[in-house]
Amino acid sequence: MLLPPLLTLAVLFVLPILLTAAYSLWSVDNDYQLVREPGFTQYRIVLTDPLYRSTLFNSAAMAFFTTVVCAVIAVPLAWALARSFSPRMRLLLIVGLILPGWISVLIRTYSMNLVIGESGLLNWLLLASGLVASPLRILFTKPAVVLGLVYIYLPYMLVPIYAAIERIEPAVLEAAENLGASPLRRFRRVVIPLILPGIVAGCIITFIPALGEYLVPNLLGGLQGVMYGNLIATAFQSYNWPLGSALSVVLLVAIAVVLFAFSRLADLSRSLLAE
Amino acid sequence: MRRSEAGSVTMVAFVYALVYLPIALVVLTSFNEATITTLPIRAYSLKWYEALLSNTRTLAALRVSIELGLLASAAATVLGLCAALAVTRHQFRGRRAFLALMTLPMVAPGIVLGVSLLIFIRTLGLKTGFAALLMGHTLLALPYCTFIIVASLARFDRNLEDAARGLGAGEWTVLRRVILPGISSGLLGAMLFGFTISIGEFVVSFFLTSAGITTLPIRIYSIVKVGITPEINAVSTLILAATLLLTIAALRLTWSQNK
Repeated sequence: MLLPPLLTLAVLFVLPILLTAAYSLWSVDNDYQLVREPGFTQYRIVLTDPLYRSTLFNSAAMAFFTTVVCAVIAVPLAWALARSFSPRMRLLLIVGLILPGWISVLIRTYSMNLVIGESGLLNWLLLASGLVASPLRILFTKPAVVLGLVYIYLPYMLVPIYAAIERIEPAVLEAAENLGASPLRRFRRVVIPLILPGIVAGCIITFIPALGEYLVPNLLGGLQGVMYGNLIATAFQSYNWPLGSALSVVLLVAIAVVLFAFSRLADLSRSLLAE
Repeated sequence: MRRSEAGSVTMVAFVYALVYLPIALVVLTSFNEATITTLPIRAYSLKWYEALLSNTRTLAALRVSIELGLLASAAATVLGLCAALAVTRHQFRGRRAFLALMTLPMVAPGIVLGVSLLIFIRTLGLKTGFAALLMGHTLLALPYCTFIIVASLARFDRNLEDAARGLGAGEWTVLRRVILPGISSGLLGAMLFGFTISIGEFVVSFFLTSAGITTLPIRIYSIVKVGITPEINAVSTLILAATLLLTIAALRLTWSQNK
């Protein structure tokens, strides 16, 4: 029973990644012909070229902002959903927020264009109301990319946080209330520590795909909002597969580091909060 | 209504408005008579949907997407069933490692999956196209299908299996006559989820399409890159409606077994 799925994963996932790692050690000559001599030329380029380094840094910063904005929206939103609606209504409302997550990421991304584009809804409203004289240039900037990423990845953040809030025992909150804690204090000192694993999980599954995102910066970022994924695609489109492979391997290593750091962070925060 | 509740309702309503506004604009402007994709809409018309019917390249891409979705989701559901039976009905060494490996394609960036599959296909000496897309989409749908079926199997009453075995049924009979009928809604739900993943997928397909074989999202992308047209909004509206209906059906199926 195990063999067919295991073989599928080995052949379609593990083997291709290993091949990518092998390609990253090779190089291409001036005619873009593959030279199969192992070396670290591509990694030297990726790690020393200011373009690649600054783009990796920029992508990490944009993915970080996306994660923070998503968390800042999702925590109070999940709390509002869990506290103020009947269980049936709650379920419908949460499904309604996750449902768009299943719609093609391409459609959702370009739909942002209709809102923030030069002739989009926002500019139409601003111009019609006389608040601005000429349309605002929001599209093709870094904030546009972060906005698009928040739009795409909010459901990823919402689900684990909501699940964590659902698991809180009402008795714990009642105890805090009876002991005289104000709503804000209850939220900060009781709810947040209890749902922290959910927040950490949400941050991980938001940050990682946002870091490697290709489509959102491609459609909303223009030249200003280039992310690391665009560099990988460009390398492959210009037939420099070894360079593209090295960029991919560096991205995978960066993700592994983030996963490791987050898991340590979760341990650390848990041990601090247990004090 | 208490004050805090009014605040909650306002917040939820506000987020709902933001989440659905861009999608609503796609739908709304697909009915715009004019060629512009913005408000205000002066006259409504179905002419962009009619134009779609005669756009052979878009229709060809739609056909590829549907065939791909059906095959990839069927393959992922069968493979996912095997994986789910293995992890829920057997204890074996490396079970946790297997589950971790299964989650990795969900976590790895789509672009890395796309380029590594491209390298894999070319190393084998094959060409990109339908078979390559099928491999990519099956891999992407497999983890989701597996975990849906695992949940389904976990809820299934093991006593029914034991009873069948006690009555002398062999393993194959138990699977075919007891387990599969018992989790049929979960299987169908897994397949529908797999189909929606395949039909909406972009970045992996981006590296695996060939000149002749294009999926619908790639076709939409190539048009949107030049400029958003009402016709493309009409295509997107149809995909949107199909995805929402399929997802709701899949959710109902996977939940109905709960009760």
